[in-house]
Amino acid sequence: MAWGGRLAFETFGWRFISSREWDAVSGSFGALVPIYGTIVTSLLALLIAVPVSLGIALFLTDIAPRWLRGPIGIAIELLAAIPSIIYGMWGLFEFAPFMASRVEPWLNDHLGPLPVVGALFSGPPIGIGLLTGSIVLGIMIIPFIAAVARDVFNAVPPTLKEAAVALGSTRWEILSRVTLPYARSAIIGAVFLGLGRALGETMAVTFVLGNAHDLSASLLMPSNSIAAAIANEFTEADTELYRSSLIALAFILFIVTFLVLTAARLMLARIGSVHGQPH
Amino acid sequence: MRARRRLADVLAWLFATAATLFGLNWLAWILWTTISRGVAALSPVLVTQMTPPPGQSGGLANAFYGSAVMVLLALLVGTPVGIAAGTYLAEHGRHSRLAAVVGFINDILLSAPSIVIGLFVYEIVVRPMGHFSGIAGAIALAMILLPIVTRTTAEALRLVPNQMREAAFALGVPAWKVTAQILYKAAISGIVTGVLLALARIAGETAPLLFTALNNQFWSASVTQPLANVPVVIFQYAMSPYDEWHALAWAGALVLTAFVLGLNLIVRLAARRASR
Amino acid sequence: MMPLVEPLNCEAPPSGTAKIDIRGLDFFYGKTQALKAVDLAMPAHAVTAIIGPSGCGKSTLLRAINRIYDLYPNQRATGQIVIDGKNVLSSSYSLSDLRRCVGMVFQKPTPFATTIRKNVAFALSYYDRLTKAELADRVEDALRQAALWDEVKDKLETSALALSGGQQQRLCIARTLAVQPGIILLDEPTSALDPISTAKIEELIHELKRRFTIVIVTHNMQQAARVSQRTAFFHLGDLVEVGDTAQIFTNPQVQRTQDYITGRYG
Repeated sequence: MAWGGRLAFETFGWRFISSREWDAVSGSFGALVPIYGTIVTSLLALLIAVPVSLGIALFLTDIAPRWLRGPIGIAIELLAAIPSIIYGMWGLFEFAPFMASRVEPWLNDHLGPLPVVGALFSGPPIGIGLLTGSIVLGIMIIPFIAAVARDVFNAVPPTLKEAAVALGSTRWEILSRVTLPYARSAIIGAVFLGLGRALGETMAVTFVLGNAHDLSASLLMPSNSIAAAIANEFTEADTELYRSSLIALAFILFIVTFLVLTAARLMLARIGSVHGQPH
Repeated sequence: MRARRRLADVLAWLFATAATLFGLNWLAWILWTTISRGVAALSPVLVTQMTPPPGQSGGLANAFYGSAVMVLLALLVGTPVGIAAGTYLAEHGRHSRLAAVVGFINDILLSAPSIVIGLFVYEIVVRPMGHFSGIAGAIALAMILLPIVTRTTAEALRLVPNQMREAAFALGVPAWKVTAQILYKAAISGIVTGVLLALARIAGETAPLLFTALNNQFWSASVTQPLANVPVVIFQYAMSPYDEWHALAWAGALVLTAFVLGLNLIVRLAARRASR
Repeated sequence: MMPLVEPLNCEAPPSGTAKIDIRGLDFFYGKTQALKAVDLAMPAHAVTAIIGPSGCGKSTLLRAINRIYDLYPNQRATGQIVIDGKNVLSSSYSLSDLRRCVGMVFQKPTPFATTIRKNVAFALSYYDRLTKAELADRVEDALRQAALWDEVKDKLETSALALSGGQQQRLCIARTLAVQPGIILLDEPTSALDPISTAKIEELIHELKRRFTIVIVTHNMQQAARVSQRTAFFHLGDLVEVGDTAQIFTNPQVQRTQDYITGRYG
């Protein structure tokens, strides 16, 4: 993989990462836009997914009546099983129009004029862009984080929770003061797991990011991610340099994803060893 | 003071319930969209006719065939290797340098985004071959399937209590017999679950196929040439401006989703029933 | 029929000599020493009980005799364990020979996830080439000796996992007996069972000692007093005292033994 990308690296050197140009015709490629897009969408997706996942995990382990836990658990797992291309299609044909007609104009009108924040939300409401992509991505990774969080919540020794209950704690207090601290590294591990998944996700975002090589502050503008760029352009890449640039992008993605997921696994393994013996 | 604590509790309850409804809402919306749009294009034509040129009607027969072929090939290659690797990891994982290496490589494969795997196979198979092919697609899918099967097999075997191993060894029987006859029987449900879930996963994978098998307009039975497959067809048709192609894409999406979700449901329900 | 491997002499040694002679045995888990310089002789056709508080090394001793610790790389033993004149700890000794003549039953019943008949027959096909009829005979024989035949003779093809705890443990005993060992090691065989199953198994042990040599580890002193002829008391890895069961329980020679038996600790 590094082999395939070496041509691009040789030609451009470090500028590959920092340059924002991407012009197939003139033969100059810079990776900044896809990298930016990848980072922004993944972080926003996490922002959406993490609270929701924790909420779902809490619901499944504590709030839901016992008979409901199985079915809802399966439903969440089904969300994870849906092929990402289906997410992409749904995003393109259903969700993006929804965003364009309902949400984005609202954002434009109400948040656009605001200073600083407003720059995030200005731009034509076409529905395709960083925001939509982030939301779709966020929905995709919810089940992954929720599943790990649920297992972690369940793995907290019941004696700890019972002690808290005996002291008169409310459900929220048990969660925030007993469960979360106990499982802190595992929760972070779960978040990293979601991040790793989000970084590499291709099909869900390819449809809705827009494949534009512009860098703009606004979330409403179309942009690109590493995976989406590769997916969209690979079959059109006719020069050696073009192809090599795309492969170089993939290499960057691979290294980053690997690091993130390894960190996740290390954190999750630690919680495994805290419990020690199986019950 | 107590009122504030109770308020926090109620808010937490509300948030968790809202979060769950939020998640379920998306599931329902996506499924509803897929079903309603896909059903409109469902017809027996899907399996009898091939992918049409723009503007004409047709079916997805060659795509179904190609997908089936590649998925099956990946399964045939990946499953035995994955089970063997998982067994090795579970039984020798703690005290073997080789096992540590195998485990490490498996983790790398497992964490690689599918698009990266697709490009990797492009470099090592498609380039030397000179063109896209079904074999390359099958290899890419196998590389995604393999680490999943390895991991679930290793986990299933690790769940077998050590006492059972010791009881078998105490009878003086050699290691291979212990593994083949005792351990596999005890872990079989976990292993099968892992294989089926991995199957469901690779059936829906698009990105790796984009760079390996690509797609084929026509009927192709040869795996050494570009092979039609469902996910890439959906991708190309959905991104196109033609309505007939959109309809076909939705029909394909419906069939694909039904297959994948159905498989998942069956596996998970069976697992729940078995563990009761 | 010719056995596939040359077994240890599974018959009785000349009377008066020990069946199992442990000499200078040290055992290590990594850096921790669990057994210290143990010298212990166990007679044939008798039950020797190993008692002591938890962590004293009694299970370790058992696991050294059939070298089940070989499965774990950081556990090792030095010294000699002489069975029928041969030191089984020496690296030239074949493990499968050893395990054919020394059977082991664990604390928790561990039936294999297959039918009752296949459980009992599991090891047989590896050792002897038997016809189907001979195999069936051996299975029935073993189940009779384990006092389980009458209860399962009609359901040999059903899953072993469906049996009760006491029946599963007797199945494990039958499985061990099927191989026709000379020595049977029992590691707290009844601690996970109810009193009725416990009584049945103790009765079984009483029967079995006529044909086999039995070593039983137990934390239940009354059980040791009931079933054994010789008793060895271990504490913190040392063999503190060994002697005839009656003598150990009524007139122990060492203060520590006295303290344990009267319940001062343990």
